[in-house]
Amino acid sequence: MDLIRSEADPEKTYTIMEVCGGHTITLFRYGIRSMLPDNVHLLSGPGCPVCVTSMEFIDHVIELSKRDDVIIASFGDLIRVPGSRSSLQKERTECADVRVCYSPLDALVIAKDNPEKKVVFPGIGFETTAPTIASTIKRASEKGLKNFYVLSAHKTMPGAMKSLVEGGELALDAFLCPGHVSAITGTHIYDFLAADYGKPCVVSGFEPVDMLQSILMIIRQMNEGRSVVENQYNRGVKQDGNSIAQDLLAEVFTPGDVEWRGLGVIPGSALFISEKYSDFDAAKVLPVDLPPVRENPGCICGDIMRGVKIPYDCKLFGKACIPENPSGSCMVSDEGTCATYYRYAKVKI
Amino acid sequence: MKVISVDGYMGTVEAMGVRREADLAMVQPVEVGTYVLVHAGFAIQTIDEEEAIASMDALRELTEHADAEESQLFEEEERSRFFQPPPKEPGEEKGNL
Repeated sequence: MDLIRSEADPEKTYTIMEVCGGHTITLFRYGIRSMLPDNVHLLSGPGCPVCVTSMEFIDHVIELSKRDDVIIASFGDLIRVPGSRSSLQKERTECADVRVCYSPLDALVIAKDNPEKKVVFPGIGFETTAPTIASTIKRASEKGLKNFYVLSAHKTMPGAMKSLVEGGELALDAFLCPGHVSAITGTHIYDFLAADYGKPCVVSGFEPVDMLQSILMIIRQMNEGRSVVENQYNRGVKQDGNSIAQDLLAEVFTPGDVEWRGLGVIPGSALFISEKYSDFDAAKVLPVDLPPVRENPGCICGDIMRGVKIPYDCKLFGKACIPENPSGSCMVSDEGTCATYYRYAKVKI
Repeated sequence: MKVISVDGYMGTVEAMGVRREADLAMVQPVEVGTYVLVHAGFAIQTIDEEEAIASMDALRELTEHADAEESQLFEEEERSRFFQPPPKEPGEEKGNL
């Protein structure tokens, strides 16, 4: 921290965006944001996969949960996300079979144990999580499971980062890049941000000391007028990433366009299930009639995800919208910006 | 987390006394004693041992001071609670997570 204070040029402003929910949590939990010099600003970007998932997807999962022959097996942080009219948690009280999984492999066990039911796993997550679902789909295929499905809302990061830079709403100088996404993809996916847009990128670990070192590396790059991709998290991230995981992604998923909540449609950022594994694609095999999507008019999760507003700007924050009764996805997920602010910085200091 | 046993593509990993099963398909070939990053029940990357030990020491020091409620470790007892199907009577289940 002393190095950051001494090397941050008082004539400059450093606006750095972190795009990983895990990083948001570290920055708040250890009070890093409040200790940085005034000219070093940290913005929270769309790093929470639950938060950037469209309301339409949530409604889709909720509709599926209403079927008697369906078991929804999901990561825990999706259960309380409000859809247009309901949530999985609410449906559970109306007899929907909704179960929490730590791993998508748990859903395979549920499918095996309940052959008369259709087990649907809502696939949320970026490049860190998508390979685990890809591997699970492959396992299901190898085992000949006929009652396991994934409804995919998986997304990839680079398109969103590009959209934030091109959007022009924010004067973004640099990125703290996600640690575990990079463990899968390798660090070269950010090259275009540094080369074409002049934004220094540092892949950071999750400990406070990791993040401080990464912030220092960005400050140094900016002071020297450089923009390259550097890897601070070299104990966990190899430059080429994990090729087995990358092959899994290429085999089981195919890229497409999808809406990110708050960011609009980002081309090429979706991971849809490929033709080869379409028997496991809930979107194809289990179509539903979706009523029109209804957003809470007071909810500004979209603006918060883009970094143009912060939770204190939201009329609902801390009043109608609290973790026990969330109005929007930023408050539900542990990695959401609003949930993190509520937990560690409820009151503006 | 450290790989303490391997059985085909599954393995047992351990960190700070917590053991769980992990799918090791993405980090093949892997040996007992290797440190790996674990996410959603899968090992997603191997970690350099010296660096891993340093980061586990730092974590241990930090968790000694952290509030237990905010610990990221997912306890086995909590996990088994979530595997119960809901009761048949409507209104009986409060849906409390």
